[in-house]
Amino acid sequence: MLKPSISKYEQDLLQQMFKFAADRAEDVLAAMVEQTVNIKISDMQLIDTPSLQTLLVDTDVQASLVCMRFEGMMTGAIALLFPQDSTKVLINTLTQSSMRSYEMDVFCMGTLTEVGNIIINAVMSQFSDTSLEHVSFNLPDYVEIPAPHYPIVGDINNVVMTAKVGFNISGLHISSLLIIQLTADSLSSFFSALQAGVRR
Amino acid sequence: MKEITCFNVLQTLSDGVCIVDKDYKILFWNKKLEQWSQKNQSACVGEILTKLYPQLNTVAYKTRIDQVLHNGPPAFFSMLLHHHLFDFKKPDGSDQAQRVTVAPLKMVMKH
Repeated sequence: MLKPSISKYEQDLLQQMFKFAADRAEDVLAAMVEQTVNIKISDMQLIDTPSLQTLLVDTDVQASLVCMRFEGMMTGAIALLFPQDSTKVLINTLTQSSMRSYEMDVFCMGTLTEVGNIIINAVMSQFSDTSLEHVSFNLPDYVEIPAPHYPIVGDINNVVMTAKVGFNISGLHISSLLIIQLTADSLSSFFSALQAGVRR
Repeated sequence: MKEITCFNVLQTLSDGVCIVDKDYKILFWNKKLEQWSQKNQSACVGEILTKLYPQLNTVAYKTRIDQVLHNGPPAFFSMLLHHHLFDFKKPDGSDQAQRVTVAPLKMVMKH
């Protein structure tokens, strides 16, 4: 198994895509909750599947994961991981209410799924709008960690990108982690399509 | 109507299902939606969804729904953040809370 790598140009390109995606998500979320929202996607890293496995499976940390699979010019899955503390603050801030405990009821799971859906969709739409390539998407999944199965963990040869997603909502800072997993053979077509899109 | 016939299986669902084209023109409105909205399928099909439910025309909703209608990823609207996208009433007259998913529909039409 080769250690995944991407060029400096590809890294910059991704960072630029993330910036546009953060702006999109920010507009949508701000309009929805009628509060000032700032979103920053930063610190992009490339890791392999075993490292993702360690991050998710071999951890004792409780967290929530909103995940969506996709297929087409690029094939894989994208997820947003909310640590337990962030989850509580995020929901309380967005709904301007106070959650009784971390026991997530169906309403809170729904809220988190929606916030994850907004971020994930902003990133995926940015990719497909830039590349002009068609991608099919599954419905988003919600998983609480630890879990017996992770829809985001795939083949050992897949390539995984992670980035920190910071939300600033009404002066409160909330952190989460964006995870994008691509099949090894779709990584090059993904970057080729993005580069072609940027040149157009 | 041909479109309605091919969506007939959706009549049996206990979820409300509405199918629109890229211009928000309603192609299908299932029985559950008839019950919740108090609007018959025949009155809804052919109408523009955002005219029947103008709240969907606001930035908070339209941006996300437009994305789906142009082959983007599915959009999910939670109960806690929206309570209800459609102004359906419960029998006691209160607003009916809803969880709404908007997803692209792939169809192969035979000619």
